[in-house]
Amino acid sequence: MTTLSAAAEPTIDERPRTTELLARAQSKFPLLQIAITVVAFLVGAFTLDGFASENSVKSLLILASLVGLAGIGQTLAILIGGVDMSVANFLVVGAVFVTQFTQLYGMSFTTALLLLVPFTAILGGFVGWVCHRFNVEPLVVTLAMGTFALGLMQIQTEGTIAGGAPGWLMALTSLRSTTFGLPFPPVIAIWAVVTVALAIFIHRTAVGRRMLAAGANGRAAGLSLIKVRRMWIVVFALSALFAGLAGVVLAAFSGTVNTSIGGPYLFQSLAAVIIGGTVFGGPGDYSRTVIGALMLTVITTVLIGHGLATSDQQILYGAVILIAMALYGRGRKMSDRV
Amino acid sequence: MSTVLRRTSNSVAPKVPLAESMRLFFRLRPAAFATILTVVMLAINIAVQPHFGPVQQLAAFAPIALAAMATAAAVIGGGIDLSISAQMTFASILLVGYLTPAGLGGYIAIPILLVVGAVLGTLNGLLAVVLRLPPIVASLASMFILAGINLRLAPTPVILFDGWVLNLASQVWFIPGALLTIGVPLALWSFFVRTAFGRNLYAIGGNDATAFSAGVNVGLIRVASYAIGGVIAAVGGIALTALVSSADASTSSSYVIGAITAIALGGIVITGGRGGLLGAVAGAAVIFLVQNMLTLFNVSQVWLNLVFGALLLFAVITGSIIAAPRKENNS
Amino acid sequence: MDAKLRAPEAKTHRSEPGGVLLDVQSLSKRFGPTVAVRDASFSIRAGEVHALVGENGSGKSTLVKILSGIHAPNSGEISVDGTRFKSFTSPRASQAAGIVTVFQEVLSVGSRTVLDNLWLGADGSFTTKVRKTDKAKRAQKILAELLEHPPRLDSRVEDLSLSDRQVCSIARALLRNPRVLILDEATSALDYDSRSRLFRVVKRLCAEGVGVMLITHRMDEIEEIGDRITVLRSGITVGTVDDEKWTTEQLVVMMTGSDHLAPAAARVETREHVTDAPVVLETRGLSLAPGQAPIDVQIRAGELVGLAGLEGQGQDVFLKSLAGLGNVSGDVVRTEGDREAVISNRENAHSKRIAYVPRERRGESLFEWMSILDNFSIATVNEDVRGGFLSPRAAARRFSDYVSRLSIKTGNTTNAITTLSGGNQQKVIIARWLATKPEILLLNDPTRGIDINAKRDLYRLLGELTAEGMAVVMLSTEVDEHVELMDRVLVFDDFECTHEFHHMDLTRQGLVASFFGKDSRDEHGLAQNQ
Repeated sequence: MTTLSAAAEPTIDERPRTTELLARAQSKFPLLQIAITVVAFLVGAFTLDGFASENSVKSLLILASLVGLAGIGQTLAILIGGVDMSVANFLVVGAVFVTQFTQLYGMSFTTALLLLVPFTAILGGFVGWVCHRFNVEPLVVTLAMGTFALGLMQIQTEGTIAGGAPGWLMALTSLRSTTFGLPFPPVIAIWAVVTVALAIFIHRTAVGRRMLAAGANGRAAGLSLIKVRRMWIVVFALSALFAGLAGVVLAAFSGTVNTSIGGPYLFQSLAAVIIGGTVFGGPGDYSRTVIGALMLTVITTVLIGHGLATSDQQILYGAVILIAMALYGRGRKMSDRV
Repeated sequence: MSTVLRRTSNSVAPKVPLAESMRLFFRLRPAAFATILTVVMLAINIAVQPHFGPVQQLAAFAPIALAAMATAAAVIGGGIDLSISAQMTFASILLVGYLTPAGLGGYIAIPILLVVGAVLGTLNGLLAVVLRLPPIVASLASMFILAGINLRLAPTPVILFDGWVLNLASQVWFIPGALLTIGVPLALWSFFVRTAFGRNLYAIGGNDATAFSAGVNVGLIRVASYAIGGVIAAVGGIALTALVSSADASTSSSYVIGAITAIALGGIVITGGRGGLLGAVAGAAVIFLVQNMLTLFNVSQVWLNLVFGALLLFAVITGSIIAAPRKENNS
Repeated sequence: MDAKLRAPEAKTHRSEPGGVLLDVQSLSKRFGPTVAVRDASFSIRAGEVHALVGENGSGKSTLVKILSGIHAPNSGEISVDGTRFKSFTSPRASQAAGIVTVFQEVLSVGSRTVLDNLWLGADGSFTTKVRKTDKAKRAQKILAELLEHPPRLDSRVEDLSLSDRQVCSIARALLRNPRVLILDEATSALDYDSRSRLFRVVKRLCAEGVGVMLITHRMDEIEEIGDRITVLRSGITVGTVDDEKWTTEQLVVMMTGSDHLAPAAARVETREHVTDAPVVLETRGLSLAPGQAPIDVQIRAGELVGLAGLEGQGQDVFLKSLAGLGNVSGDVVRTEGDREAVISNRENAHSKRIAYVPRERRGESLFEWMSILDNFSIATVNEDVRGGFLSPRAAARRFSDYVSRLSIKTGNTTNAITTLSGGNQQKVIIARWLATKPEILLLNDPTRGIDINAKRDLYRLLGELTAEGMAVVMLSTEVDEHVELMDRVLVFDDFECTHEFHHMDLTRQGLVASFFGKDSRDEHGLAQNQ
C-alpha cells in the first residue's frame, strides 16, 4: 500500500507547543502515571492513619511486586503483539509444583523448581509456535493452553488442588523478613533485580532488540534476518515460565494453593501493563509495567482504606484499563486502512 | 504483488489432492465438522444412556449454546465480545433480584431484558468502533466492570421460586423450553443473514476496509452485531436462570472459555467473516456432550479442563488450516 | 502550460457531453506535518477520459481518496454536476453524489461470493435496494462484458485469479451507474484481454456521458483511451494538456520539473571495464512460473542491472529469487572466486553477501515506532555488542559513516524513524543493508515515493557503489531510471525475460515498445475480441 503520509515531502510546521513537548516526554517516560501514583500516595498519607508508615509501605510494595512479577510475561507477550491469557493458570501451575508436588511425590523444593522450568517453557513455547505458524490469535491459543495446563495439574492432584507452602518459603513475602540483613522481604529485592535485568534485556541485548523489532513489524523483521517464529516461541515460553515462577512467589504469599488463586492476577497484570503505557507490538517496557503495578496498587489500597468493596475494585480495574487504552492504545482509523 | 497472472480465467482444473478437497469442503461448510462430531457423540450418548432425558439435557445445554451464539455474533462481524458471560449473569440478576421483586417478573420482563441486553452490547460495540480500542482488551475491561456490578447487585445468590422462567427448564406447552430459547434466536438469525444486514455483516467481517470503501457503514453494522450479541446474551441469562433457578454473580466469567471453544469448533473464524450461528450451537454441543460422556464413562471431572484445552487447541489449528487462502505460486 | 480552469457552471440536470461534470478547486490535504496534496484543481467533462499522471508520491492516491470520501480535504471545493461539496463524509456520500472509484489494491471480500462482492455496499445497512433477481441478471451482464469466461456468481472470490478479482471490483463500480468513474491503477492487475474489454466498456460509458478519471503509470493506456491529461507534481496540479498536444518527454518534464533524472556524470568511467569483470551471480534455468521459459542471466561485479516491464510481469519474482526469497524452479548461483554456491534461502543469500531492499517501505522495511538508529542497525545488531551488551555508541559510530555517504538528513538519531521524510527513511533502509557489507545489492523499486533530491542522491550512490565493484540489480517502474542509469536492462513479460538492452542501445521508445513486444500479442488480443 503506498501511503502518502510517508511519501510526500514534509513541510515545516509551527513550532511545538508546551502541550506537545509534554506529550513527547510522556511518550518516552510514564510521567503521568508517576504523578498519579504520587498524588494517590499523598492522599492516602493524609487521609488514612498509618498509611505512610514503614510497614504499610512495605506491604504496598509486596502487593505491587506480586502484580509486577505476574506482569513480566504479559509485558513480553504484548510487546511482540500478542496477549497472554494463560498467566492465571500458569500461576497455579507454579504454585502447585512447589507445594503439592513436593508433598505428593516427595521431591525437594529445588527439584520441583527445576522441573517447573522446562514444563512451563515447553507449553508456552508451543503456544508461540502455534500462534505464528498458523497465524491465530494468541488470545485463543493462550486460553486453550492455560486450560490444558490447569487440567494437567488437576489430573496429577486428582482434582483437589489445595496445598500449603512451607514456612521458609512464606518468609519470602513476609513483612518481618529481611534480605541480607536489610529491612525488607526478599520478594521486593527479587522484583528490583528482575526489573533491572529486564530493562537490560529489552534495551541492551541483541535478542531484546530483535524481539522489539519482531513486535513492531513482523514482516520487516523477517526480511531483516530476524527469525520471527523463534522470537514468538521464546517470548511465550518466557511468559509461561515467568508466570510459573511468579506462582511460586504467590504460593509463598498466600500460604495455601487453590485453582482460583491466579485469577485476580491475570487481570491486574494486564491492567498494569496497559496502564504503564505498553502498546501491542510496542513501544513499551517492563519498567512501565512496574510503574503501572505501583499505581494500581496504591490507588486500590487507598480506596480500600476508604471502604472500597471487591466488586468496586473490579469495576475500577475495568474502568482504568478503558481510560488508559483510550489515551494511548487506540487503533488506526478506517480511512487510514484503505 | 507477485501473484501469477494466468491468461485464461477458466483453465482446466488441476487434480486436487484429497486433503485439499476436504479442506475446501469444510471451508464451504464451516459447521460440518462440529455437526458430524455432535451426531456421533449424541448417538453414543443415547446408546449408552437409555434414559437420556432430552428435555433436561437441552435445558442444561441452553446456556453454553446461547453464550456461544452471542459471542459468535460479534466475532462474525470482525469484533469480539468477551463480556457475554457477564452480560448473561447481569440479565439473570436483573430478572431474579430486581424485576421479579418489583412485580415485573411476568412476560413483561422479556422485552425489558432484551432491551437491556441490546444496550449493553451496543456499549461494547461503541468501545471498539468509536473509541477504536482493541476489542479483546476493551471487552475484557467491560467484562470486569460488569462482573463488579453483578457482584454489587447480588453479593449472594438470589433464588427464584416460581414464574414462567422455570418452565423453560422443562416444557412450555409441549415444546421443550430450551428449544425456544435456542431456536427462536437461531431462527431470527437465519432470517437476518439473508437480508442486506447479513450480507453487510459478513462483508465487514471478511474485509472491513473493502466494505468501507464500497460504501458500507462499517461502524453501524459492527455495533449492531454487538447489540445482537447482547440480546442473545440476555436470552442466555434467562436460560441460565431457568436451569439453576437462581441468579449468581459468580457465573460472570463461567462461559468465557466455553463460548470461545465452541465458536472455534463450530467453524467461526476468530478474525471474522466466516461461519454461522448454527456452527456455534454445534460447537457448544460438542463441548456439552464431551462433558456428558466423561460422566457417562465414569471418567473423573478432573479431565474436563485438559480435554477442553486440547479441544480448543485442535479447533483453532484446524480452523486456521481450513480458512487459509488457496496456495498460489510465488505468493 | 498552467491551464486555468473554468469556473463550474451551475447545472441541475444531467450534463450533455462536453459539459463539466466534476470540478475540483484548490484541494489540499495534510497528514500531520506532511502535505500530501497542496493545491489540486482540475475538471472532468462529461464523456471524456481524463488521465491523472504524476510520479509516485505526487499525491495522486490522496486526491483519489478525497474524491472517494475516504479522506476529508483541509481546504478546497468539489462540485459534481453543479452541486458543491466541501468534502464527502464517507465513501457512501461520494457514491451518492455519483463518484465511484476502483482502487489500486485489489479490494474484494475473499470469503464472499462473486454476486455479493459485485453488489457490496449497494444496499442500505438494513434494507435491500435492488431485487435479488435483478442483481443476478445485471451482474451476469456486466461480467460477460468484461470477461470471456465469467466466473459463476456463487463462487467465492478467494478462489478466483488475481485478474478476475480485479475485474470483480471494477464490475462493482460499474453496477453503481457512476456519473464519474475513477480508475486508480485499476488495470495493473488485469490480464491483456480483460484490459481491452474494460477499455471498450469505458468508451461505451463515455458515449453515454459518463466522465472517467484514469490514474495510470502506463503512457500507452493514456494514448489508447485518454482525452486530456492533468499532471500532478508534489501535490500541485501543474497543468492540463489536450490529447493531441502531448509527448511523453513533455509529460516527464511536467511530472519531474526537470529534463533529466540522473546526473549522468556520476556514471561515466565505469562502463568500460564491466564486461571483463568476474561474474558474481547467475541464474541457471530459472523458471519464474510453471511452464514459462527458463532464464539464464549473468551478473558481473560493478554492473548496474535494471529490471523492467509492465507491473507484475515477473520482474519482482526474479529479483526476490536472487535474494533467496523465490518459489521458483532452477538455480541461482553465487560465484566467489572459483567457488560456487546455490542460493536457496534468505539466510543463505545473506551469508553470501547478497542484500535485498524490499519494495514496500512501510510494510516490509520500517519499524515505525523505533528510532532512526535502531532502524539502521537492526540487521547488523550483533556488531554493536560489547561484552555481551549492545552499545548505542557503537551503532551511532557505524551509522555516522552512512549519514555522510548517503547525505541522510537526520535530527537526533534517537527520534522515531517516522519523523524523517520518505526519501530519508529510504536512505536509512539502504544504509541498513549496506551495513551488511554486501557484494551484491538488490533493490526493489527503491525510488518509489521519494522526492527528486533524494532520488538524485541515490543515483549518485549507486554510481559510487558500482565503481567500487558492487553489483547492483534494481527493479524500477520508471523508464527514465533504466534509460539513464543502467548498464543493462532486462525486460520481463508474462514471467519470461523477453529482452535485454545494453546501455548504448537503450532509448525510451525502444524500451517501452519492448514491454509490449513479445509475440503477436495485439493480434492475439484482437482475435479473442472478435
